Amino acid sequence: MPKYIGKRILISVLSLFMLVTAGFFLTRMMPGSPFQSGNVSEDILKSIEKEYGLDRPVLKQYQVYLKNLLRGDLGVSLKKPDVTVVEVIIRAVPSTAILGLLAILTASVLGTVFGIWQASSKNKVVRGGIFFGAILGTGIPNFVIALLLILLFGVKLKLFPIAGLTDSRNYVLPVLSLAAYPTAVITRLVQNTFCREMEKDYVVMARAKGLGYRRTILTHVLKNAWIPVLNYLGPAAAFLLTGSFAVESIFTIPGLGREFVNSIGNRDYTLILGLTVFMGIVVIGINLLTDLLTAWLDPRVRRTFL
Amino acid sequence: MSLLSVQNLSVQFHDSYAGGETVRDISFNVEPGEIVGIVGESGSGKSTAMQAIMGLLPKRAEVKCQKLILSQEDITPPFSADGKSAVKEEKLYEKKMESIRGRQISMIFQEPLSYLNPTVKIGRQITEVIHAHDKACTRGGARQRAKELLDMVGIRRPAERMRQYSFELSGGMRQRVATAIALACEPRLLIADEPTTALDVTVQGQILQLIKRISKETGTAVLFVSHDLGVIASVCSRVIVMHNGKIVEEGVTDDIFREPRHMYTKELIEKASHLQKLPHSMVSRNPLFVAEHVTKQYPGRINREQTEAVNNVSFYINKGEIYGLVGESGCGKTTLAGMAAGVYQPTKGNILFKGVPLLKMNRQIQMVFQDVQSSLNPKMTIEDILEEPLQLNTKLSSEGRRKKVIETLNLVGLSPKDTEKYPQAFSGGQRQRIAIARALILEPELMICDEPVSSLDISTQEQILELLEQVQIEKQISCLFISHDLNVVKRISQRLGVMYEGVFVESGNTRSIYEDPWHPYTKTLLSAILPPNPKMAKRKRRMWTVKESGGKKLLGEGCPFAPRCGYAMECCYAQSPKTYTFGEREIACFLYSEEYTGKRNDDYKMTSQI
Amino acid sequence: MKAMFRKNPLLTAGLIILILVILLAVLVPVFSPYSYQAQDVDRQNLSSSVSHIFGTDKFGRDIFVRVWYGTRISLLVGLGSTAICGLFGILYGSAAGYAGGKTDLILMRLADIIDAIPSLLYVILITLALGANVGSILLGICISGWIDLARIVRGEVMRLKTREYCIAARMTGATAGRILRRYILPNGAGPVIVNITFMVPKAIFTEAFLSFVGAGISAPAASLGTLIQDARSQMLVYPAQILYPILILCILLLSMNLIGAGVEAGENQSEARMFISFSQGKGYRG
Repeated sequence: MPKYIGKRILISVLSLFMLVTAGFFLTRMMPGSPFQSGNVSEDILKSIEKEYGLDRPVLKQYQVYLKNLLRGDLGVSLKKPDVTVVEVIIRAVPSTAILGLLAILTASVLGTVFGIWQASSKNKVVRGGIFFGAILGTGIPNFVIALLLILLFGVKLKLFPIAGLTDSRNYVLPVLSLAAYPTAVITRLVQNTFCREMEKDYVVMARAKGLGYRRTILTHVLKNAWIPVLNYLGPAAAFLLTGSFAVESIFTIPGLGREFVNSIGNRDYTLILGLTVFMGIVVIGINLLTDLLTAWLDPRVRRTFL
Repeated sequence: MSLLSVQNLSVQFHDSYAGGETVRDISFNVEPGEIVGIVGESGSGKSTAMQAIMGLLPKRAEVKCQKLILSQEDITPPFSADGKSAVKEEKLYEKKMESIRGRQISMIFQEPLSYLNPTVKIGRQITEVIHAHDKACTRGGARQRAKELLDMVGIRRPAERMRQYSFELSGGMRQRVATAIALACEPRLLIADEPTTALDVTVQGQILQLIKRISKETGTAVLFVSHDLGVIASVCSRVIVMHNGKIVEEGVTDDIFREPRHMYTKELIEKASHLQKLPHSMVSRNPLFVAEHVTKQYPGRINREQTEAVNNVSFYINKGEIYGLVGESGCGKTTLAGMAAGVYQPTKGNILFKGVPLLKMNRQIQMVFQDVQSSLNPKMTIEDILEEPLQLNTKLSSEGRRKKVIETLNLVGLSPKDTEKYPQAFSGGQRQRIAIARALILEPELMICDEPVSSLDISTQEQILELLEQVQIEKQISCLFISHDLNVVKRISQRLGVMYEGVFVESGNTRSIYEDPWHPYTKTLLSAILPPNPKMAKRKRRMWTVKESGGKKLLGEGCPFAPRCGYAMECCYAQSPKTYTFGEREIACFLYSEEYTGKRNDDYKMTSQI
Repeated sequence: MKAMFRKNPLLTAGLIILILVILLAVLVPVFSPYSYQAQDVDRQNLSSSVSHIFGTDKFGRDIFVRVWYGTRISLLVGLGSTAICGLFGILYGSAAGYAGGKTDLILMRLADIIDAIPSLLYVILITLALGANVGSILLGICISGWIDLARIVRGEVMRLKTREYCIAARMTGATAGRILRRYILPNGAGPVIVNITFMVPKAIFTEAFLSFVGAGISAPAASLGTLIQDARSQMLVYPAQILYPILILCILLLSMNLIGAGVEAGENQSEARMFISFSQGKGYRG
């Protein structure tokens, strides 16, 4: 087990390093500059650039950036220099985190329920319906769903608010938009694995022992069937994070996603890079956790490693 | 009053999906406490019939039964022509069967690994049966009972085992656990569906003893399903013979074997006895293939049980002879076969082919595999499969190749019409013929056959073995014939070697080994063979009991068989025995060394010491 | 045609829709009297009519021709990136799987390192740095779009290379290339094809998403994502302007997902059992 953890951490660190490097050099290559908005004279431009160390050779800047990164200093926003990138992140994380968690929970619960329902229902309409629901969920992009939900519920039916996060009802539409795709994926995953496991021999054995269908077989099968879902949670988190770019912008929620989109519009290098690095860390962290969790839960893996 | 009474049971499958054997109108009874055998080849419907009795078949199986009575309770499965109106009846049937399964009738299956849930602890898999049928039982009570059951089936340290998972146990232990589960609620009838087919021959003996003992002690009746006549002969008091879904004959074991009446029964018994034949003449010494102190170790994997290692093995194969290699699962014979084929290199020692070290694959050495399903590429036609070796190795024209292909097909008994088809169109036996044709088409000097008949029916086995013999004599090809089945090996090979845990324990002339085995392990193997003859089977009361394998031993420190050997001496645990040669017999056992058993006269002719 | 539908309704339906979409995307901009960027101040925000099937936007541009123009971009990105990633993924996965040992270790670790970061981040950075055009979007998607496929190919290759028919082929002198080509890949094609089929809609989604958040194709070019973004400001007043591009985008993606699901069902027998409820499940072994 320790060897396994070690390997994963090494890879994670290397990935982050690659991200930081690629991000740094790519942001430097971006056309346009955050200071070109408005009428600023050449001299003032030059002095601002000097202040931020943007006149030094790129490689030097890179080294400085890395050093600061290790200290936890991601620099300051170029657009609003009195705010550090870290502050921006801290302010924005709660909203995104809550949204993300709600979305994952919704997706897991709904997905599992729908998946089992589809696998076990004798009703062709139910099965077909859930199947097409899943197809729609995987096909329609989350930003489209968000817009459609706004049109439908927010405007026509006026049931839910469509901006900000002031009230708990505000969460409904954004969470639905974010959760749609993962729900669909989990539904298909659960349904598939469920059917596959039900074909397995140990289910025959369970029947031969006289165990009741619903309760006991579900306990046996569900345990094995949920392992692939757990594996999916890692990539799901990544998806939700990137999904938040669009959804937060649409619903004007002050989260990481919206900050990121705005920073792109503003060509705010340090913020773009800082947010990218932070998101990379989050995704890698979650993937690491889910990997370890799955490895630990599956006794076959656990026993061989210990 | 019969315990189980089956009257006119038929099963039919409506779709071709996943196949299914039909059962045609069978009827039989089982009396309390008796062990009844159901014998038949694969496809005869025996397993299907058993599952029908338990009500385990899926909806697409149409089960028709006039009456099915279990100790005076009617458990006839419902049947309706249109399938729809019976929903209520089916629900009732299912509910009734749920309480019967596991409590009055239990079942053990062929492959315990896949039938036990890999992510649930063993203890829990036993206790849940208890809880399911006895709602009043406490957690502690159930655990206690589980421990008793494990003890009854011969598992030591039950408390520890209960906390383990199925993949941590050996095959034999898993089957014992399966038996414990089946016996948890003291059923009246135990259905055993090929329970020992997937086990090693030495373990098979133990499980059979167990079933016999349990039946006697608890008075449970057993319906024992098997394709192996020897097993049936040794365990069952009454036999039912099934063929093509019908019962062709039924009666007391002794009678059936002594005077079979139905044609099919006669055939079956005759074929089984065929394998008792002894091999033909020997060949003079002319080594084609030599293995010298060959060792294969997988570094860092000493704790892993999956990889077989080979330890200091030496033997040779003469030109034109068939050399048999016998051993149970995990003994290293597959690894040895791989090295002989050039698939991997030994870590130590040499393999010489025609006097030259074998460093990579050699066209003169070809192989026939065990798994008939995966030995032919399903995406290539027979013509492609057979032509490719010629395309890659000879300069024959397209005409020439086609001629050679047809010639080889004829040699193995197939017609040229078959070249257009794909492997899936052929039966198991035919596919093996094609595999043999592929091995022969390059006219190799050495053919390695790795369990070539293990997955075939007994009648097909005989055909393939005859074919191999014929081809070998005609083409004078040497052959390394590997099998776990001593019957098969002794029938076809002139000389043989016995392997145990990576080591050659005994080797020599097949006939003499069979008539006079020297090594304790060889003796165990031989005694574990169950002849299809009840008298002989019963005479084997003195079965060489072998202990279940204990902890793993590190290579190189002592004889690997010592933990299970009834004749182990002090020295056996401390050092590895050298190989002692007596004429053409070689044996690795301290019982035959002068050091430990005293000096012998110069002209003393060595014979079995046990 | 009818037979095909009966055998695999999902696949057929998806194919028909997709072919229609492709036809329209190819033909409409050619035959339409309007160019995708011609503005007409007199005809702003018109609703659907015979001459403007989808109406006009706030600059008077014909939405119909812009939508199909955008579809062209989506198709180009989707099919193009899949072709590149598909080829590369198969080669990479075959090499890693067949070689095994150290080579496999290094190759897959490299893939892991690239894969750990969500590809969208890379795509955004690249399009920002190199400009927002189809080329940079393709580049961004291709950076990590092949990794999933490579893993699947590697898995299949490793599963099949120890099959007896592969060993037999080696013993008769077949080279690695031949074995991969004739023995392994044909037998492992199932999951590979399914994966490739889904790569196309994923790429199209990425492009639309990017254009929507402003990091992809930007105005006046007409990607479906940009169209949706453009129409957002007036969404509440002129909902039709945003609904048309959404509709076509969804139809495009759905048709591809249907095809993918159909291929999956065809390859995977157990998927067909999706319509058999579990109470009819196994419990039988011949």
